[in-house]
Amino acid sequence: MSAYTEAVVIQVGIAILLALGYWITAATGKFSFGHAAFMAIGAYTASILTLKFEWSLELSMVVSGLTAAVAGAFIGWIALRLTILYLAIITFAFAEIVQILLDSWDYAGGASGLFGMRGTTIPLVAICIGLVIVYLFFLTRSRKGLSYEAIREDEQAARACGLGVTRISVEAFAVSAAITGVAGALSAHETLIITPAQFGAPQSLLIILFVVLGGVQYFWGAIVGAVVLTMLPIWFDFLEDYYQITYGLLFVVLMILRPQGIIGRSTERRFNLDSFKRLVPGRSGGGRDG
Amino acid sequence: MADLTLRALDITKQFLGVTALAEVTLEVERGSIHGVVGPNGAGKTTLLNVMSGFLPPTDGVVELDGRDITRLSPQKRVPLGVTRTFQNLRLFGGLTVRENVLLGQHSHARTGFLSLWPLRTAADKELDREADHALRIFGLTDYRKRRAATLPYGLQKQVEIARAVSAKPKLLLMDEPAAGMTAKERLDLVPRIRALRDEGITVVIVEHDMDVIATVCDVVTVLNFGRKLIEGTPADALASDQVRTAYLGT
Amino acid sequence: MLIQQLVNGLLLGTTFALIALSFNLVVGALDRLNFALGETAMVSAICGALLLSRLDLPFVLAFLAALAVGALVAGVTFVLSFRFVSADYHTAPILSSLGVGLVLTSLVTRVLGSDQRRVPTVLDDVRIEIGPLRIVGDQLIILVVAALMTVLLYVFLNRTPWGTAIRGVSDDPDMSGLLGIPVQRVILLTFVISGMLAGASGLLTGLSFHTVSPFTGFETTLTALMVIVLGGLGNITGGVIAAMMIGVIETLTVAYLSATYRDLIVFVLVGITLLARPQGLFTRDTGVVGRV
Repeated sequence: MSAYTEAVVIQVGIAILLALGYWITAATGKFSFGHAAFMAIGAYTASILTLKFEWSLELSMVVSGLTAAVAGAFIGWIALRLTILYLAIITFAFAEIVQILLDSWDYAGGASGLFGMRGTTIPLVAICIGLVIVYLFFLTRSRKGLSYEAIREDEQAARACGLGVTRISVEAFAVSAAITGVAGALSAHETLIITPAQFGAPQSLLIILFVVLGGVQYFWGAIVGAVVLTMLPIWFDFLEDYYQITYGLLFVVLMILRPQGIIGRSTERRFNLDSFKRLVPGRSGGGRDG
Repeated sequence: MADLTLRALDITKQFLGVTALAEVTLEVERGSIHGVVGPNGAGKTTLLNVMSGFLPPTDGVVELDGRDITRLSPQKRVPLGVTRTFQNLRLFGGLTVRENVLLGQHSHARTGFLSLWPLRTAADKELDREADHALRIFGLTDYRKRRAATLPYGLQKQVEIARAVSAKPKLLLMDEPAAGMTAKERLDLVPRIRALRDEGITVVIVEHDMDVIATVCDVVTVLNFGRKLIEGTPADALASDQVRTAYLGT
Repeated sequence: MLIQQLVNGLLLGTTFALIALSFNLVVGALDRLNFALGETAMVSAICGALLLSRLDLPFVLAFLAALAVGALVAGVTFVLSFRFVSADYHTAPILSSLGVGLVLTSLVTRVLGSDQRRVPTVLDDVRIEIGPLRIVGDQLIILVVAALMTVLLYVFLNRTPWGTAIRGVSDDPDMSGLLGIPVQRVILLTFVISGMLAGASGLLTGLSFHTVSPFTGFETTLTALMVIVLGGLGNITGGVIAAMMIGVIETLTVAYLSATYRDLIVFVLVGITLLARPQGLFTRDTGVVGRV
């Protein structure tokens, strides 16, 4: 296999891992808009461990996953009790904070970042994807997976069924962050260099686009989204220069034509229309008669 | 002293200065079917939201079997035996009927990390049997694989009750179960609610429709403008002048 | 000099107040956020800056052009990201307007280049000195224009039929529809006005720093989000007060601490606010159901 093919395969593999990780939180209907921050946390944790402490990559990946999970649980605990608007705002701000902190952290190279990480191989990426797929396979067939769907469908009804909505979503968010962190670690040890600027809003939006394109209904939809969006700029060279416009337009067109994603059916949630009222605090008439 | 399942004591609820409930006390006797009626805006649904934990009362105490549950969230009340239905139906429309019922059992099921392990315990299988049993009782067996949103309205109401009952509650709070039903569906509703009571479930029905209340309830509490107007047997309560005034405004 | 910094902070706050008003108007009308408003402000500012520096247009004309561009961009955003997007998907308008933002930024950098644009000084020889306090002409312009726009908006919302329609729709869109108010057109109008406010904020911010960069769109959005979270989503007065607070905090941080920590301090502050009062500093709590 040529070095070029290997690089492409690893790039696609990491994209799949990012998409699957994001899918877990999207499955509960909780969209994060700053997942690149968890990627950054994973990438920096692993890189510092391998570069400065000379740990093995595998062990560093485990630690980076755990670190990202802790950060995810913390952010989730703050944000997931609130409406999706607040969730969006907090995750955006969180990603920005992580970038600012990394920028001013001299030990980790500041704005110029870290350099010289290597060691990501195809088998390593494949094993990670395999583990995540096995996890998702069992998750989507379990009551836990069912409770994710329930929360996505209707939070109030989920509460009435006795589901601890916040606890379940925070758990999903933390697992999602962990997988994203591991993907970040793998990515750092493939690209050789990481800087805080890589993990900005465009990267977060790209991860969302993987999942939104594929649809949140089935986890393999996320895989399709990741593969398509990673291969597009490789197949079509000219997209390289226009990828931001392409991705932006893709969001706009997709949301009008197929907001549920390419794979997946429309849910016809006609009971949920009034939930828009609950997007903003102070606008709810919930609980009053009539 | 009567054997009470639920006691809501001196419940007051204000929304931004507007008083929806003023010192309302509701004592629900074990094994009874207790109706709460009143004109629109009387505070019926607010009271139900306070009892089920969806709204915190501004003042007052909610007790279940003598235990103070005022500060407990809805999901913590379900394992204690309080479930509810909603006025305008809240089903998981994209999920199948059976999945809706399975979710009703959530508080009895294993949902920890190890529950992902594919081996199923005897308790898991027992829950599955119970779910299928609930589907049969509510006449939903044939629809179990249909997505809930695709069913006709009357059947969706059945699914919601089946889901609430599969949590094995002591107390079922029903918010306007007859709303939007056809006359025939209303007739079917009465024996079903009685059957729930016969299974040992105490039922509180918040209802606008007087006919259903008069037929099925043992005790009726009438609310108006957030205050308790009268309480007694359906015949007494509905015959009182005060209630007529409240409803007819004359 | 503390007082000077305080005044500078308040002046910075007035531009934040405009963009926060812009966001809050849309939240009021639709209960949703237009995440492309930061980029809308940026596009308007770049256009205004080009007219000022290349064509030597008077400031008034450039300002009006910025308003027009903002109105146009926001109107298009409404059509693309809100009007025809299914109401069943909560995240759809968020993602779509973020997409519009991406497109706007790349279009500007492709068509007009990624250089920073200079905004020339407008009132060169005006300067007010009160004791040690110094306010230059451009700061006066910012203050006067921002105040004027706020007052005009207030009068428009409260004294005109269209303004009343906007308030009606934000209160209860269904009821307004039943009463014969053309809801979609009123919402479009709300977007157009919010775009004008964003455009004004963009050009005034450019005037205060004398430079505009095509990469500031998302940053502006973030700042505006912090302001409206602090003031309470949809709370217009709260937004203005929060804007002044954040303006002062940012200015003081840069003056006495370090520019690096400017955003950090604001984010942390807002985070703490959210933990303690999720409904914002200036909005009353409505209980669990309201927040779910």
